Amino acid sequence: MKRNKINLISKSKIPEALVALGIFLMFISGVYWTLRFRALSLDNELLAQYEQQAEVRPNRPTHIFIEWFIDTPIETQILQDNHWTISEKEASYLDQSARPGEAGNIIIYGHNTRKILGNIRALQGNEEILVTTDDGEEHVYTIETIVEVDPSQTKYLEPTEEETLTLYTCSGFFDKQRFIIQAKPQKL
Amino acid sequence: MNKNYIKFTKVLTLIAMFGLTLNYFAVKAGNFEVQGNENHCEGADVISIDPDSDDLGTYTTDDGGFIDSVCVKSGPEHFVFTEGQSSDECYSVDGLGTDSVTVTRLEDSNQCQAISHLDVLFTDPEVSPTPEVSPTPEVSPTPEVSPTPEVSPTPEVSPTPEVSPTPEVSPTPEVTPTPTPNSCDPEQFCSTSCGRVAVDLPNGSCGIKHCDPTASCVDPNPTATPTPEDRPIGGTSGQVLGATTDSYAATGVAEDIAFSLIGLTGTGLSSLGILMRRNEKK
Repeated sequence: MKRNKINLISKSKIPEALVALGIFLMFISGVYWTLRFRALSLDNELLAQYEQQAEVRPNRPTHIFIEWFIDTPIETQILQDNHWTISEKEASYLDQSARPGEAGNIIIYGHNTRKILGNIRALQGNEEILVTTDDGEEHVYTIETIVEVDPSQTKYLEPTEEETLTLYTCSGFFDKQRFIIQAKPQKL
Repeated sequence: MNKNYIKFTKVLTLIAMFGLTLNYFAVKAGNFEVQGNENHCEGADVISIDPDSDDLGTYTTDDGGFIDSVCVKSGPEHFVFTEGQSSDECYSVDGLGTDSVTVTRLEDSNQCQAISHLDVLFTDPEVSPTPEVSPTPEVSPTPEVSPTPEVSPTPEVSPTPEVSPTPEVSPTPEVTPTPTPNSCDPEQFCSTSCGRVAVDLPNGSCGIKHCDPTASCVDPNPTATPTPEDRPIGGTSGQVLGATTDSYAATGVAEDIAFSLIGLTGTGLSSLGILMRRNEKK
């Protein structure tokens, strides 16, 4: 008799408990997305400030193409105060890095979605990478290095003496790794 | 009816647990980016070694180079010792200026914590270019994910597990010998590795004190390798430099997906709760 009573009480509380738990989870999700969108708008502000004072250099990459794998426009982004701005819909080109056609490390990165750079994780090493710059010129690169590293191993971001194209995106469990492709200009 | 109800409750509990687990991993994933390089004393011209014990650390150069200074890491602190200041109340360093040093902990106390790590800064002997440096097998062009592989930079030494090679640490480094400090020139010390601070010692001479990771260093030696903190990103001359980073951009979408799922789970649970309450009333 007593047990039945307890059961009834606990049963009657289940809907309320579910509603409370649901509201709590929605709250967590809401906080995350609020912060996320705030960070995005801060990124846009940073970019706008940077554009005002940055040295104007031609030949920014505007499009990257790897047959069967990647076909996406590129937005110019920056690294400021150890913070990388990143495009949500396109690949991102680090404006502080080298331009295609000149000596140095050209850094292009992006989210690991299928529409951006997620597919680079399927590259085998014999593919050609075609990068188009804003003057319409096309630069072809051949993959030399494919490697997966910890986010703190930044040696692949270092300046290079020769023209080098560095592509990277997140990989691994819960995006704990960075998948990096380095390529050199194709010799004609 | 009752059985179905219990089954239903079990499923709901599982869903809730799944949501909470996702939340846990999402928060964990959000934290991993923050981790940085803790070893501020590490630099291209510095050899990192583990001590023999908590109280004792020894190191002998392989190529007869002279050891200029030793950075002792204990707990969260770093202490740098040179010929000008080879001991303090906690540690004593013997052999500075020679090719072999011994670091001893003088006292075991809260202030004098165990030696956890030693960084040895040394001056290479006058070495003529040695072309027969064959790349050791460990240094592959596509390094593994493992933290900095450890290889000897000197040609005549078999791969000992002591020295970390970065591409800049060529076997014939152009690092000019760092003289024993005789004047307080902060730049002279900052040119080496870890944000060292030149200080006036009580005896009137000049020495080096704690590694100060926040010190901004101007590198007077153009051939010296920049520290990770000073390293420019991107291209070479003519480009916008000065940006620094210790990590890659966060290019993952796992967090977005996880938090979306958490939100959806929350919505589902709330709706379910409301429906159940309505049914009960009926």
